[in-house]
Amino acid sequence: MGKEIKIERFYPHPIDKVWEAISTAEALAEWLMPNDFKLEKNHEFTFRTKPQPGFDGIVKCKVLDFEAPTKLQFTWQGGPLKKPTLVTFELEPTKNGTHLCFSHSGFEGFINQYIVRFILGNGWKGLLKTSIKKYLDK
Amino acid sequence: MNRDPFAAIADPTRREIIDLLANENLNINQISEHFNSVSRQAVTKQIKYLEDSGLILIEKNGREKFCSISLENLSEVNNWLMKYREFWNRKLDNLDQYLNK
Repeated sequence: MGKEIKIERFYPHPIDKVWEAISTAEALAEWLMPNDFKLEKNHEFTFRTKPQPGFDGIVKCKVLDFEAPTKLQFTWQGGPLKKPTLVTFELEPTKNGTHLCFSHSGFEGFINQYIVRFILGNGWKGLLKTSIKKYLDK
Repeated sequence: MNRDPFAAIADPTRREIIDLLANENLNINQISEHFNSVSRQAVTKQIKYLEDSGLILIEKNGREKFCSISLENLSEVNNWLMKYREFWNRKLDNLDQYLNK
């Protein structure tokens, strides 16, 4: 089971242009979602999108770390993700453009939450089965 | 033997084993090494208990026995992770279009 999302991309643009696209509120709003991002360590911000069933459309984030123009890392929490997960962009200049290493990780809490829910779900079912049986056996 | 998964998580050692396996697949030795105050024999017993509860799978690979969280029951997690992967791929395509403007 993959517990981390890793995506690599190449963009035929200089690193400064790609950096600006991932580190300014205006640019992020255009290709990702409307937001109140600021390139400041510990800045808390949100991405907002249309609410969907099971998701109020708000992603809570916090800038953890950045190093212009190569690295940006922020937390990502919303929808089914009750605990913050980690989004990281890493840029590397190449001869004719910019290489992006993207990752979204830290799903352990999310996975544990499902394990617990699964266990509790089955546990209750088991409990009902046995108590009904006991009742009927009386 | 079928055991009650509810009882399975009532025990702290068994909960810890589930936690360990939520992060990675481990063999029985690796699981025992995590516990200082619980004997290997006791850990093995708890692992068997979790297998009987349907929470973990034990697969033999040569002389080693590997334990993993029962994935079938966690397909919902995988569906979510797939959705997030699709989401980011779509967004990173948008980034490409944005840069090409």
